Amino acid sequence: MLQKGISYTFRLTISILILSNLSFGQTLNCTCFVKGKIIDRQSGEVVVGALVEISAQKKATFTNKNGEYLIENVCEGKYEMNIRILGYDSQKLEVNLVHENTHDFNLNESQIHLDGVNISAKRIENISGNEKQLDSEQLNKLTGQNLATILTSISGISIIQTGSSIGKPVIHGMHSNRILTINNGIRHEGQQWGNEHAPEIDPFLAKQITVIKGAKSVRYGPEAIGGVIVIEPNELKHLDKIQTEINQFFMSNGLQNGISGIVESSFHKIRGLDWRVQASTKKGGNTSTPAYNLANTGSQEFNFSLGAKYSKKKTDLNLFFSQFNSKIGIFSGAHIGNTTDLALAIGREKPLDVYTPESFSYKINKPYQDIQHSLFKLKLNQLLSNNQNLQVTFGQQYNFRAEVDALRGDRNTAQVFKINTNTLEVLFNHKPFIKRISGNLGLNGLYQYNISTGSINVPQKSNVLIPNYTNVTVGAFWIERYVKGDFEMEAGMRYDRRFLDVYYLKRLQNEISNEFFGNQNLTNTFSISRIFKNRIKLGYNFATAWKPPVVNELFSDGVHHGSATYEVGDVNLKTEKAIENSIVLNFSDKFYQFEVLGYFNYLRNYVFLAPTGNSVLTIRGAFPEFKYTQTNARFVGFDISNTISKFQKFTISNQLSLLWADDLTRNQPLIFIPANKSETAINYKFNKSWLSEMALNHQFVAKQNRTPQNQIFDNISGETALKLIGGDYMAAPAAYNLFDLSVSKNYKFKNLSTVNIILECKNVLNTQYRDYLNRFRYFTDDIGRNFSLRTNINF
Amino acid sequence: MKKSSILLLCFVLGFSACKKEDEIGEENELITTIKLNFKNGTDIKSFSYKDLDGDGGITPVIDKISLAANTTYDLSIEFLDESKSPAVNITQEVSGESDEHLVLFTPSTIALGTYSYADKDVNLLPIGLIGKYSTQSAGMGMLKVQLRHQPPINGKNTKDGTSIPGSDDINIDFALEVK
Repeated sequence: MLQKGISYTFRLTISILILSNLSFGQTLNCTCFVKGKIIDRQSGEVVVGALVEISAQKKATFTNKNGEYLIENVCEGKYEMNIRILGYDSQKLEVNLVHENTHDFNLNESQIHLDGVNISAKRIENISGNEKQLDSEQLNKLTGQNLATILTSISGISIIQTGSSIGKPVIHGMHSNRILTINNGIRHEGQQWGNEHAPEIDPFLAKQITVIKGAKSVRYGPEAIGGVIVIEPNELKHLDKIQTEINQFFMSNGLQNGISGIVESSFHKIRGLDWRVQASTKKGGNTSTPAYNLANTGSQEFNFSLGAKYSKKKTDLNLFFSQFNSKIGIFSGAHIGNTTDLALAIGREKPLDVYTPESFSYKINKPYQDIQHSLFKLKLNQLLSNNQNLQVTFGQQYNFRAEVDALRGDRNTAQVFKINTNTLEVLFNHKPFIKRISGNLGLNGLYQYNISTGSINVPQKSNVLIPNYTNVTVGAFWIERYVKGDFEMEAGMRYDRRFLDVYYLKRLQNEISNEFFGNQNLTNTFSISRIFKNRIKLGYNFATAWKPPVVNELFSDGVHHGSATYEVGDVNLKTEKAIENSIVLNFSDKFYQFEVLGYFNYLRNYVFLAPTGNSVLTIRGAFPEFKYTQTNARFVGFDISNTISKFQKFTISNQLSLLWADDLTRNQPLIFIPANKSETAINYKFNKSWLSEMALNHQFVAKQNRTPQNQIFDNISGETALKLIGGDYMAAPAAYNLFDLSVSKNYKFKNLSTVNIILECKNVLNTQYRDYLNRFRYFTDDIGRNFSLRTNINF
Repeated sequence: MKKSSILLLCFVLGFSACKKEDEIGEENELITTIKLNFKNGTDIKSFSYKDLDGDGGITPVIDKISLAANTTYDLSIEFLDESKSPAVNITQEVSGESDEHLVLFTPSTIALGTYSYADKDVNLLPIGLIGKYSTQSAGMGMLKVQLRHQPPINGKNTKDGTSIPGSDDINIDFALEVK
C-alpha cells in the first residue's frame, strides 16, 4: 500500500456547481452549465490552469487565476467529467445535469456533499515525476496476463520471459533483486534471484499498480535500485450491501481461461468492521507459435485472499491473508542435458516434432515449477492529535518453490527452496511545520531464514543451490517535504544494517562451515520540482541506493538446469552502490501532452553473471562456466511519451523507451539489456453506439545491437562446446513489429451494476518473432496470434 | 443463503491452504560412477569414470581405455551412485525404464571399432546395457559414452532408437587406445 497515511498525500478539493435552466417541453435542454472552483486542500491555495473537460459534449476549459472554471451550453444528461492538473493524478467524475438541480443556486462548499460530487485528487507522491500508475480500468483490459506482462504497458518497463507463462519485470534495464515489490504494504520476499522466478503475486487482486522508475531506497530499504512496484487492492470501506466483482477471461492461444471473484461488505452487527473475500483460478494448456505448438507449456493457478478492517474512532486495524499457488510447465524442448544438447537445439530451425505436438493438452508434465506464497499482514493505524499518525505493520511470508525435473521412473529430481520472512515497519507522520513542511520517520526490521537441508545451523547436504541462512536487516529513515505553490522539494536519508549468517557443508566434508556477512549503508534522496505557467513541469531527482550481495551471488555452485550453465558464486563480492539522477520534463496542454524522463545511473560494484570461457566437466558432459562478478556500470536512458487527445474521444499516443547500459571497466555494453522499443496506440471512444471503444496498438522492438564482444574473464584454459557470441549462445534476434486490436462495450444499469466486455486480438498478423529477453529464444519462436475475451461484472 | 455460501467459501479456502512440502520429498539423484566392462574370453578389462563429489569441485577421474586390436569384446555398462553407502545401483533403474533410455557408444573414428546392441526394450528398440564392441586396427582416439533419457511427452513415447530425442543424462569422453 502506498502509505495512504503519509501526510504529504495532499488532497485536492473540487467544488462543483451544477445548474441548468428549466427545460421547455420535451426538447433536449442544452443550456446547462457546470461551474466550480479547484482548491488544494492542504495549502488552501487555488489551483490555476487545471483542465476540466466533458468529453462527450466536446467541452473543455482551464481554471482561471482564481481557480474557477465554467463550462456552458451543456445538454442535459449524465456525463463523465475529467480533471487534469500537472502534479496531480488525473481524476474522473460523473456529473448528472438534470433540471432538479436548479434549486442548488446558492450551493456553497459545505453543501457539496448533498450531490455527492465532492471528489479528491491525490497529489503525485513522487515529486520528480518518475512514477506511473495503472488504475483498475486499465487493469481490467489486461486481466489474465501475468504481472510482468501487465507492467509492460508502462514506458521504460520490459519483461524477461521464460516461455510465455513466466515473466519478470525489468525497469530501466534492471531486474530481480534490483527491483522491490511492495504487495499490499509489505515488502514482497519471494525468490527474485533467478531469471525464471516470476513474482509470486496474483494480479487479479490488484486494483492499482504504481511503478516508481528509479531508486527509492530511502523509503523502502536495500535493493530498491532499479525501481519499486507497489501493488494495492482497494481500501476496505463501509458498505450497506454485499458488493461483488467478477472478472473472467478466455484466451484462444493455449485455451487459457480464468475467473476471479471479489465479495465485500460490512458487518451490520459490529459497527466499523468491513471484510473482503477474494479467489481466482487460472488454467492454460499448450501454447502455440505461428508455426507450431509447444509441448508442456500449460500452467495452473489458484489464489485467494481474506481481508478485514476494523475502525473505531481514530484507530484502524487491518488484517490480511493471501495465498498464491501456481504450477507451470516448462517447455520440453528447452529441457537441456548439457551443452551439446543445447548446441543442437540452437542449431535447429524449429524444435523437434516430439516437442511440437499437433494435439492440444492441458496436462503439465515434468519438468515443471510448483510455487506457493503465503502472506499474513496485521496493520494498525492510529490517528494522533494534530493530524499526526502512527502506523505499525507486521508481515509474515512463506515462500515455497520446487523445480521438478524429469527423471527415471516416477522419481523426481527437485530443487526445493523455502524462505520464511517476518517484517515489521513503524511509521510516524509528524504534523506539518509552518504549514509547508511535512514528513515522516520510520523504522524497518526484517528477519528471514532459509532451510534447504537439515535445520538452520545444521545443514545435512552439500549439493544445494542455496545454503541455509538467516538474514536480519534493520533500518531507519526520515523524509521531509516542502511545498510552496508551484514549488516542491523533498529530502530524505536512511541507515541500514544487514547481518547474513550462512551455514553450509563444503564438498565431501562433515564439518559445518559458517560464514558471516555484515553490511551497512547510508542512503540519501533529494528531489525538486517546479511548475511553470501551469503548463510545464520540471523535476529533478537524486537518489542513492544499495544492494548487499545476495546469497545466490555469493554461494552458487552447480549446474543451472534449463540454461545449461555451470554457475559459480563469489563470497568476496562487495556491496553494490548506485547513484541515480533523473530529470522529468512535462508539458500539458488542452489536447496535447508530452513527457520526457531522462536518467543517468551509475552503479559501483554492479554484480552480474558472465561466461568465464572455461567449461566444467560433469557426468552429463561439459558445461560453460558462468561466474558472478562485479564492474562499474552506467545506465543512461530516456522514456518519452507523446499523447494527442481530443476530448478523450480520439487519442493517439506514443511511448518510446531508449536505454544504453555499459560496463565501464571493460568499456563495452552490458549483456541482457532490453532493446529499444516504441509503442503506439490509437484509441477511439464511441458515444452512443453498439461499441464503446476501439483500440489499435503497434509495438516495435528494435534489435539489441549493443551486446558485449570482449571476454570478461582472463585465464581461459578449456574449450567450450559452444562458440559464445559476445558472451551469449546466439546472436540477438532481429527487430519485430506486433499489432494488437481490441474492441469493448460497457453496460451500465440503473442499480449501479456494470458489465464490461472486451474482445482483443494480440499479434493480429501472426508474426513469427523471438525476443532478446526471452530465455527460450534459443529454442523456439514466441507465441502467435491470440484472441481473448474478458468480462468484468460489478454488482 | 448468501451468508452460508460465504461460509462455505471460507471453508473450502481454509482447507486448500496446506503447505506443499509433503508432495515433493525426493532428493536429487546422482550418478557418480560409470563402469565399462570389456570381456573377451578370460580377458576381462574394467574402466571407469568417477566424480564422487558430484558436479564441480574436484575434477573427475577418467580411466584410459586400452583394448587389443581385431578383437570382439562383450561390453556391459554399470551406473552407480557411490556418494551413498552402500552405493546405489542405478543400472537397475535404467533397465527398469528401458523404453525411455538409450546408451550410445561412439568412437571418434570408425577405425577404432564398432558397437552393436545385444538387448532390446519392450518396443524392440535397442537399449545398450549389454552389447559387443569390435576393434579393428591399432590407433588412438576417444570413445564417447552417452545415456540418453527419452521420457514420453504428454503420454507419447519419444524413444525411436536414434539419439535425437531427449537429453543427455551421461555424456563422457573416454580416451581410447587400441593396440
